Amino acid sequence: MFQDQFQKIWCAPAFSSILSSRRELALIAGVGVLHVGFSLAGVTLWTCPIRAATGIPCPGCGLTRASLEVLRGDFSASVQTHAFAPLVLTVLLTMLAALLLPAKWRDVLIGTVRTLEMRFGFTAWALTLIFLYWAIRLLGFIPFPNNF
Amino acid sequence: MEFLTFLGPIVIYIAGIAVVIKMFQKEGFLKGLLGLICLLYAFIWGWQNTNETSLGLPVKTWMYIWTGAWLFGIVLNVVASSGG
Repeated sequence: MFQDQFQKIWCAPAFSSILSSRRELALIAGVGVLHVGFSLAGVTLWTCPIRAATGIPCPGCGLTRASLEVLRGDFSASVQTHAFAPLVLTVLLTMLAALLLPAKWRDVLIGTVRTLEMRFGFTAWALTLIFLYWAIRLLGFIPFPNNF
Repeated sequence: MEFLTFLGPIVIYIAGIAVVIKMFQKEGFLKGLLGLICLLYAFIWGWQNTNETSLGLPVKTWMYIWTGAWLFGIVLNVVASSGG
């Protein structure tokens, strides 16, 4: 009973359901491109409300900067800022692909992601690892960079 | 001015958490976590689900509060930086 409930939560198709909605994808991609574009230009439009209000970085804090560092080829700085930037960039690329691919290939992509989620709990693992990484950093085992 | 720069993030934080709570309730655990990690996603989700209710207020109201405080924060930042 408990195992079934857990399996249902752990293997829920969360990311593939986002990929299935073109409207949601277009919105996220549009906002994402604006956010990255302004960040590249040195303008910060979006700051983390959790960090601003509590002073504690949230699990996703630093991901934008780390992703920009990957795009600039500075992998060492990126890993120091946030180790999950390559995963986030892969997610963004997958979203862009789902938005731009023809229907046939889009369905294949969404089906593959859904299988990964429902069979292996891919999204649940990724989110759990991000939270564990965040907890380890907060405890000081992996320090935040000086300019964080 | 300092009071406003302190208050803005608190208001955004409360509105954001209200929207994330609704995400957990409506979309399930994983999407709720996703909203918590990426509040920008929660922001987009909130504007797409304005007819829902969270913590006794319509999500639309939370989104107006969130967006207003966010825009106000940007204006304050611009004023503060142009003022030296």
